[in-house]
Order: sequence, then structure tokens, then C-alpha cells
Amino acid sequence: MSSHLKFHMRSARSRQPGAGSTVALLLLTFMGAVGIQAQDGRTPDRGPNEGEGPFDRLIIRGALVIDGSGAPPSGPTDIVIEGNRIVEVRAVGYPGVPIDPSRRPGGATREIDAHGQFVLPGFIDLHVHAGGPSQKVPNPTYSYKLWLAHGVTTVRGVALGEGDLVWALEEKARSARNEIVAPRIYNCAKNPDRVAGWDDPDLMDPESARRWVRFVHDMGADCLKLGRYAAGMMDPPVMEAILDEARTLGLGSTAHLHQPGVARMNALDMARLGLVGTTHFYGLFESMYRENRVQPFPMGYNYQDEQHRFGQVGPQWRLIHEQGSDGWNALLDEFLERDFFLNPTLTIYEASRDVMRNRNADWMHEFALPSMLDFYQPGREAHGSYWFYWTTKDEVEWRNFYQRWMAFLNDYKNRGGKVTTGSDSGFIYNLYGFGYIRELELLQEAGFHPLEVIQAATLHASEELFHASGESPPFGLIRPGLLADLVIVEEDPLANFKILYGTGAVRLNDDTGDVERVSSIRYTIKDGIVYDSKQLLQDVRDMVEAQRMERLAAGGDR
Amino acid sequence: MRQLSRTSSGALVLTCAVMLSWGTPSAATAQNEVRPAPPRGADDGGGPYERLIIRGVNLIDGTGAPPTGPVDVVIEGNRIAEVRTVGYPGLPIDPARRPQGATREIDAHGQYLLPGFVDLHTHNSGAGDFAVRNPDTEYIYKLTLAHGITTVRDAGRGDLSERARSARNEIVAPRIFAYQRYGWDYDRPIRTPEDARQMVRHKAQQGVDGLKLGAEDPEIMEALIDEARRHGMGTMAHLAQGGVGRMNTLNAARLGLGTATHFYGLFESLLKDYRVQDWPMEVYNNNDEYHRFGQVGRLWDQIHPPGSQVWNDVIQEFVELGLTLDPTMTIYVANRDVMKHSNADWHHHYTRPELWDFFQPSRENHGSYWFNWTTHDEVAWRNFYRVWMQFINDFKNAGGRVTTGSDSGYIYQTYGFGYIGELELLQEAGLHPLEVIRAATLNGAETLHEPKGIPIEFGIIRPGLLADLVLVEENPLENFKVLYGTGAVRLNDETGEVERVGGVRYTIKDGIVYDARQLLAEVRDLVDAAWAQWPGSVERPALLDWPRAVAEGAGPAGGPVIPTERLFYWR
Repeated sequence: MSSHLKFHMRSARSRQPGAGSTVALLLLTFMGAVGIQAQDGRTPDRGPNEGEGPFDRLIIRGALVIDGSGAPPSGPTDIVIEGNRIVEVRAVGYPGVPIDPSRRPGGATREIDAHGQFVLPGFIDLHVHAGGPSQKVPNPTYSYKLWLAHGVTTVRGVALGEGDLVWALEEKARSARNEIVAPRIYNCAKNPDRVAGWDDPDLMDPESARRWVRFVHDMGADCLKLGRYAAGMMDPPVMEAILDEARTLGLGSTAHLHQPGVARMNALDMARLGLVGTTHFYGLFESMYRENRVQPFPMGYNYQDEQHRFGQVGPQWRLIHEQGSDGWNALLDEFLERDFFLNPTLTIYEASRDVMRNRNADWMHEFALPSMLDFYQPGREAHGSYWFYWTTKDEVEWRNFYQRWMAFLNDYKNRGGKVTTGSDSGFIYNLYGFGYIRELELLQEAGFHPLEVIQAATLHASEELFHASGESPPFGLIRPGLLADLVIVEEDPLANFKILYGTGAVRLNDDTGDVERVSSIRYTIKDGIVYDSKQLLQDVRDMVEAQRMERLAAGGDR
Repeated sequence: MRQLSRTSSGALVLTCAVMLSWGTPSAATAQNEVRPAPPRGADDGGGPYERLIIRGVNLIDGTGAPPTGPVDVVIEGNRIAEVRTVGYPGLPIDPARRPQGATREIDAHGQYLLPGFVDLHTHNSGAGDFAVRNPDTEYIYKLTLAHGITTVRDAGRGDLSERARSARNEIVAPRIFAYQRYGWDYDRPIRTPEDARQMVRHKAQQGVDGLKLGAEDPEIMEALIDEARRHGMGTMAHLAQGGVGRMNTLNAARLGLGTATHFYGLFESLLKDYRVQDWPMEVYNNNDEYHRFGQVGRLWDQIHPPGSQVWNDVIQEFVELGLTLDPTMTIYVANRDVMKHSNADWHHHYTRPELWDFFQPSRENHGSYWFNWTTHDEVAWRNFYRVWMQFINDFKNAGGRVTTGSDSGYIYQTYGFGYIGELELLQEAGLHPLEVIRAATLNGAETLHEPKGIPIEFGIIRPGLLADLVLVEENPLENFKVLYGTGAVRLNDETGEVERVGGVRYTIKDGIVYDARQLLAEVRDLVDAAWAQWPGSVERPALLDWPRAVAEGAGPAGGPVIPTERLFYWR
């Protein structure tokens, strides 16, 4: 999502009466409701009761381990964590046989009884915007907690805030020190016009572009988010210079190849210039048109009209080489040869094939801030709210689009290509955390085995993050020596990803005859600190309720 | 959906169990019968008129012809008397060229007129557990008419009394074609082909329009279909798992079956590695509905794939045999996305508590098999739908007749709304919107009339045919969502507000003009009243109406405004 053009206008969502004062009052309410100290959108410090640890020697006992590599579940296994590192992963017995206590690791200063439960590497969301500080998410603690509650222990901000790299780097450092309740943060630099101290917002010439790359690298950016974020950025000589400089510095890169630049810079062009991986679908379909070099937009098309923009994405399915054809295979082969990563974010556009589904999703009531709901509504100014008149035909075009897109991802995976998880939540009726779990479901729909989905969410995502630097990823698998980023789930997520939603999966309890919701993430462990997922969800519910009350007090209807 | 095969005493036992768990059965359930529709009141529908003229409308005639207008449509009594083109787009209409003498006029300039829709698979009468969740038929009929459906094929009990009352317009209801289940309302055993023939003759004497069949034993099936044909009765079949091993769609079509409804038997006609479905024998019990429906989704890759020789041969043979496919995709669509359908826009206002309760996961309620519906199940069904849709579209393109049926009242599908869902799904399957409308009108009418050996009496807009019509303010070919009672979401650029537009304006059945919005209001009242008295454990579904929540706030700010355009392709 997040076109740079729209960011300038984001503040135009000022229809909400009294929005400014609402924010201040709201934050006061947060302090009361959640027991945190927050001022003007600053992420509150982690409170004394928020997360436990790290521990000298934490042992998770008797779990089934899904290690992220693609290996099948195996247990009973004891996992020993010292400080923020995994030090031992030991098989301690056999299913159906009592475990011999003498074979188990000892000396725990804290134990978690996880017999019959499942442990996975923490999930990695490679495409996030935290929202805050903004009107729709007044404080990013909201997004952070939703991510952690859904097992996400690492995010890549593209950009984390609304382009303010200084703020994003500060958030990264605070999270690294565990001063805030947040996943690990990696930051891509994006809009040059929003990087403090940078002097050339348009990036029109290659030398300036190289200078910009060095500038953000020196500031501490981990990667670049490329696209038409500056007037010249998608011009071939400029892009070539950017990617060349990034390669020299070991700086990561991802790209959203906007329609206004894609005619000269599609995903294949970018891969040839050394881009690490691309995100969304932009530029992908354009790399395999049969009979066009430029998308045959209907006359009257205006990119700045988001119904035009998104309504004309779906029909692209008719323009491409068919699955299995030479053109289709050639693109797959070249991506593979270049070790190219695909980070599709299927979840963020899903409403395009079924807007009612997403608008009415189970979690909207309890977990969407009223300010988020406002933002999602059809509006010409809010990015991703392009439901001016979304028809059966629009949805059908997008359903067909998804089929081809999914087939491409699955074929790429089956050739050995790496597909990774990202959510881009916060737009298009997609909510933080929930949208990420939906991505897991959608990858399964695309044809991935659930173990391949988990691999995309953990190992492959960590590999994308560290690809440019050449470092071995410090997390993404459950292995001795790696960082202790883990998710403990009460039931088997491979059998049903829906149990990972904060709102859970529906199940009939045959013992009681009651219909229940089973929400199974118990703990999310980030950097050796154990967070109670249920508590995080409760914190978010409290934030939502506080904003609702605040609005009622201000005379709104919600 | 087919009711499980149960003896009448079995049905009674089940009903008693449900009633006991509720504690306070209503009057209707105590009698174990659906309340018939109340007599049509003086305010229920206007007409028929001596000379009703619908003025200036865009006509979608049901044949596949493109929209054309302005057209004046003259209706005398219950018949269409004239369909006259009265001008050109963009020019004033010359009044002298228009038909005159109206005793009632409807100004429909810029609006769209279609033939009334035909729903070939409904349940709108019954007893036992059906009555528990549908205490009265008024609710069903009004939702049906409010969504433009003027004819239904009652595919279960086929109530003859309601059919007659509707034909006389004594009740607010669509036309009813009564198809009865094999053995329904017939107390003699059916063990031999001759028994079956006798049963059919008995029903023919009663005036039943057709038979609703299962996957019966081959010799019985043959006798039923043959005898029905001899008496001008139609046949439709739900070829359930219990008998499909010997009676798949191809087998039944070769015996002369009229309509195959749902998907049952279709995939089984295309099986690749076995002659039966590859059910998992570790755990499968057909009477466990999670097993049954969960495994249906897994059929998608057990068959000869699309485009293969067998696939094409089966399609060709269906077309040659004159089989009609009435897929009712809408009734199973929750299987690929149960959250969506449990949260549909309309449940709060339009799903009555007994029905909502019935939809909740339960081992007893037919179609409520959400014991533990997983990502795997939904993914399997998404694949299943993809293949099923391709079959339907390939069949249509080969010249086969596809029709519309909803089977609403199960699996989170509410009457009327579920039918519009079918139109959307047919478009998703690859039908052009005009083909969808033809499936919904002409094809349905042909399917009902063909067995009787008479020409259609409705189904297209033609002088001489019955006046069954739907008037819509918005263009349904552009967006079928405008036909939902809850309308389609649209941003109003004049006011900056998000609105819901559409909903059927008028449904005309047999020359009687029903105000669809009034019907919907009556249903809302009925549903409100039912919830107010609801003693059950389930809560009313929430009102999910997010667009309205931001309706407050100012319109666009000052300054020059760039005009907006809606796009279309010339393709």
C-alpha cells in the first residue's frame, strides 16, 4: 500500500470533529485503562507487569516443536533458553510413553509446562506500517501489541511510521533494549522528502541517489523501500545507482512498483538491477504481459482516483502469459536464478475480491479502534478506501487475479524460490495481527503446505531480512545459539491456522454441546521475554473501549 | 440441501428433541407445522390493473438481449400487452409515440426492468424441524418476493394448498411449482419399480408438478423418472453420497433426469482413480456432517481435470441428453469462507432467531457442520468451487442449460439474499451478467414448463406472457449487489457520504405490484418481534453497518474539484 502521493493527504481525514483534542484525552484514558504512561503518541515504556524475563534458565517442557525449517512437528521436546538465547533443544521421549525425568535438562529458574502444545519460531512480518502517531492509530503500542499477540516477534517497517526515519530508528532501538512492548523492528528508508537532514527530495540524478543511499545507511536504516517515492526514483539510471550502492553497502531492499513508474521498472527490471525482493503484486504481472508493454488502461483513467487504480489491477489477469506457458516459466526461472524474494501480502488486497467479508470480519467489533473504522470507510482521500462503488464485477476480476497470483507464488515456491510473509495491515479493512494470520491462510490457499507456510513466515522471512548483509539470520529457526523468539500455541496450528487469531476458531465442544472460540496463542517470547498473549489482547480491547468512551463523551455516536 | 432420509417417526423424534432443548415451543412448533401465509391484505400489493404502463425503462428481456430503452411496457391484468420502444437515449421522448390509456403508471425512466426471477430450488413449506426454524411462511415469501423472485420450485414438500393460494393471489407469495420428495406424503412402501410407478401416478393424480429425487437404486430410479415423464411431471435430483455409487449424474441423466441440483453426483461422474469417492476410511461416517461436507471439498482433485477428454465427453453427453444443471452454489459457499457468511450484512435485520439458532454449529441441524471448520476445509472448498465453476461455465458454453436455485434456509443463507448470492457466483463462474439473468429467468421457466410440454408462460418480457417483472433503480448488470435488500455500498460524491443504493424497487407477480421496500420493512418488523420474544441462548447477530458510522462529518472542503469518472472497458 502506502503510495507516497497519498501520505501528503492523510491528514485530510480530518472530518472527525474535534479530532485533535480527542487524541490528547484519549491518551489520558489509555493511561487509566492500561496503566501505561504515554504522552503525545510516544510509545509508552514497558511496564513492570508487561512481559516476564529474560530468565537465567527458562525451560519449555514437553512441547511439539515446529522448527521453521520445514521439518515436521516433533516432540516431546524440552527447549532451554538462557537470557535471550536458545541454548538447547532436546528430544526427551516418545509419544504415548512417560518421559523419563532423568533424561531432561535441569536447573530451570523458570519452567513453562507445554506438554502437548506447540512451539514455533516467532513470526516475521516483512511489510508493516505501525500507524502511529497518526489519527487512525494514535499510539503505535496498539499495533505492536496486536502483532505480538499474534506471534509476530519481528517486523520490517516499510516505513514503520509515516516516513519519519529518525522516529523509526528510535523505536527500533527502544525495542532492541526491550524498553517498549514491541516486536523487533527493522527499518526501510522510503520517502527522501521525509528524511530529516536530507536535501534532495526528488532524487533526479544517479549521483544524488547514491548519496541518499549512503545517507540513510549511515543513519542506521536496514533497507530501502523503493518505488515512486521521489520523482526520479523509478527512472532506470537512478534506480540502477540506488541498487548498486545498496549492494555495495550490504543494504537490503524491497519495492512497491507503483503504476506511474512501472512501465520502465517492473519486477523483472528490478531483479536484474539487484533488488533483493519485491512486495505486493505491483510490477509482477507487468513482467509477464503477453501483448502489451504498458497496461492498457481505459481512457479516462486517473491514477489518483483509487477506484480507478485498484479497480484496474484485477483485470490484469487477462493480460499475462498463462500458467505453465513459456513466458510464465521464463519469469519464474529468472527470478529463481537471481535468488529473488517474493513478499506478496495477499492479505492486504483480499477485500478487493470480497469487501463484505473484510468489512464485517469477526475482529472489527472488539479490536478495531473507532478511528481505524473511520479510516477504512469509502473515501477519496484515505488510502486504500476505494469502495466508491465496488461491484460484483470488480470482485470477480480480483478473484481471477488472485488465482493467477497464487498460482505464480506456488509455482515459484515449488521451483525453490523463496516466498515470505507480510501483511501491510492498517488499510483496506485489514487489522494489525489479524491480517498477518490471514496471510498464512492465504498462502495455504495458494497451495503451500502448512509447513511451507510456517517456513515462509519464519526461516525464509529471516533470510530475506539478512540477504543483503550476508549475515546468517540470528532468528527464524528453533536452534541452539539463535535468539529466543518463539510462539507457544496450545493446539496444532498446522491443522488450522484459524486458532492463531485473537478471536480464535469456532468449535463445537462435544462434551458440553457449547459452541466455543478457540484462540490458542498462549505466549509470545521475544528476545527471551515471555509475553502473555491473552493479556496483550486485553490491553488492546481496553484501548478500543477507551477510545469508544472518549468519543461518546465527545458526543459522537460511537 | 436435502433433508436427511428419515422415516416420519424419525423426524418427529428429532423435532421433539429440539423442542425440549428450547423449553418453550411456539404455537407453530407445537403443532409441528409451518403456519401458512396469512391472507393477502388490502395493502399488500396493488393491482392487477386494467392497464398498467411502466414508462421509459431500460429493458433486460431475459433472452440474452442487451439492455435497451427507453421502453414503455403495457400490462393488462396479469399479462404483458405491449413492449414499445419510445425514443432514444439523450433525446426527449415524444409523448405522441407512447402507449396511452393507463389506469396506473410507474415512472421508470432510467431504471431497469427484468423478468421476475425463478428460483429452482427452495424450501418454503414443511413440518418437523423445518417448522421449528421457520414458524411461518410469510417470512420466507416476503423475503423471496423482495429480491425479485416471482416463481419458486418448492423442492421438498411441494405444498399444493400454498401453490393454489398463491395462484389465486390470496397470499403474498411467488408462484409455486410443487416438486415432492420421493415418498413424501405417501404411506405405502416402495420396494419395487411398480411400487414406485404407483407412487408417481398417485402424485400425478394429485397434481404434483414434479419429483425431487435422491440417488435411488437404479431400477427404482428408472421407474420413477420414466413414470414421471409419462405424466408430464418434472424431475430433479440431489444425488446424495448414500446412493451415488450407483447413481451419479451421468447415470441419472441417461435415465432421463431433468435437473441435477447441487454438485452431488457431478464430480462422481468424473472420478479418476476409483469408482467411489476416496473417503478416508480411518474416520468417515456419512451421518457426521463434518465428515460428509468436509470431504466433499476434497473431491476437487480426485477427478479427470478440466479440459481432459473425460471432462469434455461428460459435458457433451449432458448437453445431448438435455440435462439441466441447477448448481445452487450459494448454499455451500460458506464452506469456503464461513466467517464471511456468518457476518453477512443482512443477518441482524433479516434473519429470524429460530433460523439463526439453526445455523449455529450443531450435530443435529442439517448444514450446521462447523464442529471444527479449519483453514484446510476452506481451502479444499475454494479449490472445489474453482473446478465446479469451470464445469458449469464449460457446460454453458457447450450449449447446456444452467439455472438458478438458492436452497436458502441452511448454512448461513437467508431467504432472498442467498438467491442474489447465486447470481454473483454465476458471474464469478464466468457467465456474462446477461447470461446470469437468462439463467435466472428464461432458463428457469423452460425447465419448469418443458416437462409439461407447454410453452413458457413467463421468463422473458414479451407481449402475451404473464406479467412477472422486477424493477430496479440501478443497473443490475453492472453490479448484482444492488439487488440485495441491504443494497450496495456507494460513495455519494455530491454529499461525501457513504450510502447504500439499490434493492429491488417493485416486484410484479401476476400483474400485482409489490413494493419491495415495504416487504423488507415488514420482514424487519417480523424479525424484530421474533427476537424480542426469543428465549433461546444465541444472541442476535450484531448490526454490522460500518459505512453508516461515518456518515456524520462535513462534505468536501472548498476549492476546485476534479470531476470523477466511472470507468468501463470496451472489450
